[in-house]
Amino acid sequence: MSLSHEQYLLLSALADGELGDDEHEAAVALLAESADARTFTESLALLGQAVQAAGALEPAPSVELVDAIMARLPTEAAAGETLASPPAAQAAPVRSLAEARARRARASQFAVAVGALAIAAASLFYARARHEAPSVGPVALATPSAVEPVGAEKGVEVRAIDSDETSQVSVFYLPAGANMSSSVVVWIDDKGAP
Amino acid sequence: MRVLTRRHLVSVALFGAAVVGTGALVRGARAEGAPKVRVEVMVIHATKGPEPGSYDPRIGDVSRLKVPPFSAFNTYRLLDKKDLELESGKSAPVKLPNGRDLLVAYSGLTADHRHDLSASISQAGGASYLKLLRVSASVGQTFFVAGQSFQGGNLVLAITLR
Repeated sequence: MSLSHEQYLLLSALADGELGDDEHEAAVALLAESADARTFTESLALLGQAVQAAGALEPAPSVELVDAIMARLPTEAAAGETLASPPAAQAAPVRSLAEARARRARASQFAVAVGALAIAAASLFYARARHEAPSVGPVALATPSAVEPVGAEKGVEVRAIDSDETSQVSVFYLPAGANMSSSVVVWIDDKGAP
Repeated sequence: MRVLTRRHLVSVALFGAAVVGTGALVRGARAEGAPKVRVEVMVIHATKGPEPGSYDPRIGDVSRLKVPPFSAFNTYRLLDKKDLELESGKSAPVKLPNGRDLLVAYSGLTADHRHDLSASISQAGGASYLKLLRVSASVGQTFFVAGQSFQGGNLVLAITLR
């Protein structure tokens, strides 16, 4: 190329819109007379478009990164550094890094608690399933020893009897015997037998 | 756009496991929650025959049958034996040899943790021989319903909680 360093700078400033009236006229005159100047300017325009397109595809910074940057702002301001935001602008909400860390720590503790609950629940259910597995048949039944010890004092108790009006009902209580609790016999006189 | 970190994925996985585990636990608790009981019903034919009489060995312990009011008979023969598995609120029928139907119902546990059991006997035509007998008993205990005339003798129903 035949352009000088100063001409490159002039064309770059033109592309950035940073020229005054005189410099702008000079740059336009250069573009009119130099094919290299036009080519360079077109290259700058293409480069600018490519950068914008790449910026559109780039994912936004993660919340954690934003939190970390925002958390540093008060410290820098306190050190006397000037913020770039205009005085009239409303201050953005700032969360401290310590707060963010504490929040993440609480989230981690919650996750651990939930995980422990899940493991405990699964273990308990698995243990119950294993305990019930030896039972034969679809219904788990209690053994006599599991419900009432042998020789328990309470025998069978009649809570209610209702029979046909023509029948005579007698209740016999059988006393407890060896290895046997008391029992009852409900004797219904069978006058109405078919 | 928020980036999913490994910690987020682990949290989601643990939460999912908690939901699954809790659901399984609840199902297990429900399965264990309803009281159940097994009821054995023996249908015995009692008659008075020549001494000394006989006892069907399939009946098992016959000591109860040698005292009043059963001592009025000296021969006992097992006609039928049924095993019923009942959950709370459920009932099961047993066909009797005289054409009547015995219905055994289970109402769950009583306040003192015994079993609340009911029996009723109905006959053809809808009439009731025994409208309701409700007892509380423990596993291993037997109660009897007797008095139905049958073939020159009597039917004795021995109902045992197993």
